[in-house]
Amino acid sequence: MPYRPHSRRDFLKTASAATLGALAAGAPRLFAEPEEKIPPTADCVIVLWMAGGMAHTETFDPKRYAPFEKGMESKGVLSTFPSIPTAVDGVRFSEGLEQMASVMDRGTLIRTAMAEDLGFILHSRHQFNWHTGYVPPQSVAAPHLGGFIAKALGPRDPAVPPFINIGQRFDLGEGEELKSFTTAGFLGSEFGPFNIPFPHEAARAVRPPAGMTPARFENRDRFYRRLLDASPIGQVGSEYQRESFLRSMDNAHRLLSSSSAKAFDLTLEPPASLAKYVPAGFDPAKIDSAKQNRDGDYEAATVGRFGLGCLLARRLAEAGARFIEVTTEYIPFLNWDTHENGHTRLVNMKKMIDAPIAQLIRDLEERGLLDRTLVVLASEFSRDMMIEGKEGAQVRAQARVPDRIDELKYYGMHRHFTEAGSVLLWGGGMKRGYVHGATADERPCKTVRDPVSITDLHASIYRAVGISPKLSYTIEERPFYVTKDGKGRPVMPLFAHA
Amino acid sequence: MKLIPPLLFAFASVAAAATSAKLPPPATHLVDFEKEIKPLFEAACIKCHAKGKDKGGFSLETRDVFLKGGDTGAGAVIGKSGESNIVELVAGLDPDSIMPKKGTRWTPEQVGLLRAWIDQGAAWPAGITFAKPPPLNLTPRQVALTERPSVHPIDNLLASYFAAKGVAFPAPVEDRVFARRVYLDLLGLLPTPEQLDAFLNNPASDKRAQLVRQLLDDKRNYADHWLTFWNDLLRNDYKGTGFIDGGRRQISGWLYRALLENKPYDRFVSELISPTKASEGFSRGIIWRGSVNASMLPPMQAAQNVSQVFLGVNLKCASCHDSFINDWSLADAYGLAAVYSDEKLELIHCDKPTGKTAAARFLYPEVGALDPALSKTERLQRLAEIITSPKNGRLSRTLVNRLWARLFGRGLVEPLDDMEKPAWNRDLLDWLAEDFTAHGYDVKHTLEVITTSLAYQSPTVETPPEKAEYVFRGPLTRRLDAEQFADAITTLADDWSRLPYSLEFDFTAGGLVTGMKMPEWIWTDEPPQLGPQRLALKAANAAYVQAKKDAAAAQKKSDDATAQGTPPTDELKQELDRAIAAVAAAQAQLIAAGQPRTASADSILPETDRHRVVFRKSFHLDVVPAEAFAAVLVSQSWQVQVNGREAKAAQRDGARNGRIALINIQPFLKAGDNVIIVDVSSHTEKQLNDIERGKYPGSLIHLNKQSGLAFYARLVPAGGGEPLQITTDATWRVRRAPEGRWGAVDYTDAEWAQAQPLPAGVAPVDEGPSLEPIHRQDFANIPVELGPQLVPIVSTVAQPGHIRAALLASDPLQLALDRPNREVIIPARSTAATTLQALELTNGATLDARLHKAAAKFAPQAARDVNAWIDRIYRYAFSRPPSPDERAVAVEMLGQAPTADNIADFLWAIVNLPEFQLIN
Repeated sequence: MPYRPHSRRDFLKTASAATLGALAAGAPRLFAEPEEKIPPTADCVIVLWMAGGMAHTETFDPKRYAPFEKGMESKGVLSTFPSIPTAVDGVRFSEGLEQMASVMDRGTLIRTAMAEDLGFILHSRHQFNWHTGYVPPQSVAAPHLGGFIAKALGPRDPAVPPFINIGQRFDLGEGEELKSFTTAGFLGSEFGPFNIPFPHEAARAVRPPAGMTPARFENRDRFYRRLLDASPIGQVGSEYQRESFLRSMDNAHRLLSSSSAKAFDLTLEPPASLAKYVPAGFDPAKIDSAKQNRDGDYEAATVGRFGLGCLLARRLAEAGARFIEVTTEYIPFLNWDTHENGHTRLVNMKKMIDAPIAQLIRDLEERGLLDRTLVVLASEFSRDMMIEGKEGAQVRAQARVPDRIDELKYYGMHRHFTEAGSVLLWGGGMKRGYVHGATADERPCKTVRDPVSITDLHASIYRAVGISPKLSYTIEERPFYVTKDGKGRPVMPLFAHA
Repeated sequence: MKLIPPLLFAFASVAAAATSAKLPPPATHLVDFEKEIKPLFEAACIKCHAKGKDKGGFSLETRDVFLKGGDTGAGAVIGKSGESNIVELVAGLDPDSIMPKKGTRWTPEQVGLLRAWIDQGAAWPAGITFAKPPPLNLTPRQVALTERPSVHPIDNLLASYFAAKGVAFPAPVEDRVFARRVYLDLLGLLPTPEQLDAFLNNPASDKRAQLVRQLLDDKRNYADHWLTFWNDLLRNDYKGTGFIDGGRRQISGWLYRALLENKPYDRFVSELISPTKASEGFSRGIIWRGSVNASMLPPMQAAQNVSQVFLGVNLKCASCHDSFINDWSLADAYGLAAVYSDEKLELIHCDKPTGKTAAARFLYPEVGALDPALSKTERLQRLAEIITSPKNGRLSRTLVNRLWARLFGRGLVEPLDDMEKPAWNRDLLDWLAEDFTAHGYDVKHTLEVITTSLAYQSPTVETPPEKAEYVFRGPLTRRLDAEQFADAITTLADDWSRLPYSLEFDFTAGGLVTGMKMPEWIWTDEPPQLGPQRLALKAANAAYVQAKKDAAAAQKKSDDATAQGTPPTDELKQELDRAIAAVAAAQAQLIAAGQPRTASADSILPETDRHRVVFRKSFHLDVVPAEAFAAVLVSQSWQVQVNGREAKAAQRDGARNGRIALINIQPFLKAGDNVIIVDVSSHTEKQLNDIERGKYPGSLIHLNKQSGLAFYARLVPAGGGEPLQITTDATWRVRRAPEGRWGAVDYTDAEWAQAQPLPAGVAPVDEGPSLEPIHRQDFANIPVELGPQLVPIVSTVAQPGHIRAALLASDPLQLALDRPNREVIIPARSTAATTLQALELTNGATLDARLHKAAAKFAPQAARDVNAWIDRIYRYAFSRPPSPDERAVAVEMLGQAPTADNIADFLWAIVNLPEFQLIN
């Protein structure tokens, strides 16, 4: 169905009214346009969010392996998996990440991503910090990374919402806290996230409501416009408000009718390709009913969901999305948030991410998109067997660690660790086959050189898409910067051409 | 006097001459202070040396103070610019002391101007000052109205305004437009076709004023609507950050009651500033887990929120450093925060400690002085007094400005939280504020004043461009907010929710609900059968087993000695005797531990042990009621069974593991004899098992010293009639439950005791189960008194339903329509129409489901007479009948035999027409 501008108004006229109106409606103004113009190396950003705290020594920064033995000392355990080689000489990953190891030569690995020291750890605070660049509480509603990018750059394709968030439900534990940063904040909900908690149902979000055929949908729309045309003039007061509302309805209708909407439909993906993202036999319908116990069954039962999210992200990137986040989902004490059974569950978590992420990179590369698509994998902090927070922190530990491990459930990284973390970046101007920073080989396995703060990581992401770390918007007459207080500095060694 | 040696003197004057020589020369013309020097000071100096600030002890607010100088000496020497401190500093001769510290260096020409001015005598016209100007909109001010008989005061003031601006006074809108507008503005509801007709057909000449008064008298709908406004301002109704650790408190119960009772605003504000337990959630702020930036500690949050909401002052910037956007300083913000702080507050400047302690004070000392030596409680009381005193004209102006903005789409002062800016009509603002104060700070009064003015009844106008100076020409078109849109669908579809999301709302306030039979708190004084006894038994058994082992070992030693031919020594014999005696003692202990325990005679509230207690009530019903909700409150965990089936909670309180809940028992009732069982346990099954497994080694018993149960059910017969109220009292039966699965309790009356009502005035306290210390120490696990919760939850059962959006949890549709996450204060909602909103409206499941439900309900009506139904929908949705063209399209859309799908689609079109979404 081709887009049909509203018959009463000249399209150009409404466009200029929009600018005035946007100002009148109090849309945040640019505070200052930073002088330097940065040529972008990426048009699209995909964040792969390992929610819950992904242990670096169990994934991309393996240390000495100590296999499980009843009665073994906890303090002797640094990694519960042996390491494996990657496509880059001298760089090893943890067992279970063979596929991602094979595409390491396409990307950059930061081993020294730091989290802030916020005292007694609460996941949602660190997640807020990572996603907005600011530590909560804030006196204004801080925007998500995706919100800033959506506002600064706008959509790539007008039919595709510029900020898409895949894989997180908000009606479960700490869901309200998640909402506090999964938002465009003071920038306004125009730049807010288009949420798709279940990738296999994404198509539903861009289709007529359940039970409505396309024919009925179009019929409804036709009659809607006829009722509009039939209504007596002047019943509404503000022409601007009327036009702006109708324009938003037009945009929505356009998205639902556009070819871009097909990108949301995973059933259109050739089965052979789909199979590379999702393990055989995975039934997405079982996700809701999967038992949320902490023994590892939950991760096993939901293992394909993230893969579907990666596939959806690829399709949306092809269709012209600007910013997509795919999360393994934060559910307190589940997925990466291992307070017990760390080893057992990481087996499943690695199954969850290994094949789909590698395939995502390969597919983007094959389609010639990888160079201009920045893919970022990150987590809110890392984990350790013994240390809670950081070495010497006077905070209450949130997982019990016996001196000697008798049961498998105590074998794993169960405490929160903020002094190192692994972040991977592919495409979008990043170096290939490069490792940034190093961590200690003995406990504490913390950063020993080249720490990367969240602020500077964000500055790097922004730089890749052509945004200055000093870009700011006005709220309550104060400038609010895209990186913390405008102080972000991109980590130039990450870039292929600095 | 010491003679300065001539050589030194000469040296000094040579030095002076040398300095003089390096300075730019003075200008040669007569310098005008106002035109030439004042701008230089404003550009370079006043940020640090005026408006209340005096860096380096130096201020140039007035001539005297300027000449007096600061830490490094006098500002200037009149007539001798070459020797003047200030000239040297701005000339920048000494690279270590250049002024201004930040900003552009003075050019030689500018220095020359300064020099000339000083040399010419430093003339400084009286009246020019760089002192902080007196704050705008602070002092109360009476406004005399021009004599214009029977003209509404607002219109009177605007008449002069319009005359001055050359704008004609607009003619008021027609009745139907007025009706829809004022219903939505005052009650947040669409007028029903009947209500609209009644108004249209009212012949009274003052019918609009009558309507306004009638709407404001509708206590419930007023409260339900304005709850949204105050939730936004007071950061209430939010289940997110802070609740996980008990770091945040709702004030919903207090707030709703205040709205129902139309509490005078000065008392309202007073109770928020110097709070009771029910209202402390606002000033208490959010206590975050972990370490928090100094600028967001709870006392700072209180200072920011109190000043923003009630005084229109933004202290957020000043929470870290002297503000760049207004004249508030770090000391000001900390001064107000210190009022709320339990301990001394050290000023932290941009995350660095300054070593200075904040002295508690109020922002505007001219309004009232606050003695920092008072205790915290006294300080809060004093602060409340000052802020609500008639001398504080800012309080009333801030509020009437918010009300004006709500009703007109734009405030008299903008932004609403910056009341130090001038109003576009000072007289109007001040008159409204004084009128508000004079009428006892009655919010409804001011709403009435505004909505009965012709100004309010004017046609809406377009939002003017921001750059131009604002000229008032009438109200702006506004948009239904999320809650209004949700309520519009609710009323249109007659699709009401029955229970609110919160159990704190007290519907007896304002006399909304009466005739409740209140339940009594009941418990049991039967002796416990379990508890420490069981554990004591375990311990005694273990001791007995150990004693036997020791005795056996001693016996063996003795036997070995004998076998070797050495008779047992006396020592060995004694050891053996002791061991045997120990066994006997342990055995006696074991028997004693197994004896049934008795409660002490005079305690009706026995120290309760770990146990289960089961209560039951039998009653007879002739017919099954149409509706039956129940409230249960108990200081422990509970389960309710009705006629043998478990009835789960429909709504729980979040704070204490659902000790308080609403249940729908209707599905389980039957005609004939019914039995309700309330099975109470001091721990959940899981906790009991965990304790057994030694998971919580520190806990032996739970701590509820004051236990009790209250239960209230209200059975509403089909077809109306007096509801049956079932309440806990002495007729309930009780027994302590033995071990075993739930439901294995014998139900015959004979073995059950009578429940004991607690003494009058005594209500249970939930102290929570004993858990591992990690949960108690770090979380705010404060004992919860159940007494104050009783009336609200019983009233929630007893109220007739019709719960509106503000009392329900949000949904994806309202979220998309900007129902906010209340992490921060929201003074006004965004009105922008976004694509994501439109997507949610177009295919979102929430709206779709509601419309289909409505369509199913409407299908018979629509089928019977589609024209009449279309007519009604239009009159409800738009307060007007459809035009012939509209009717034709509607009829075509619905068809002769409208299906539920047709109807749902038609309703969708209606609610998505701009005319529906906008308030004209």
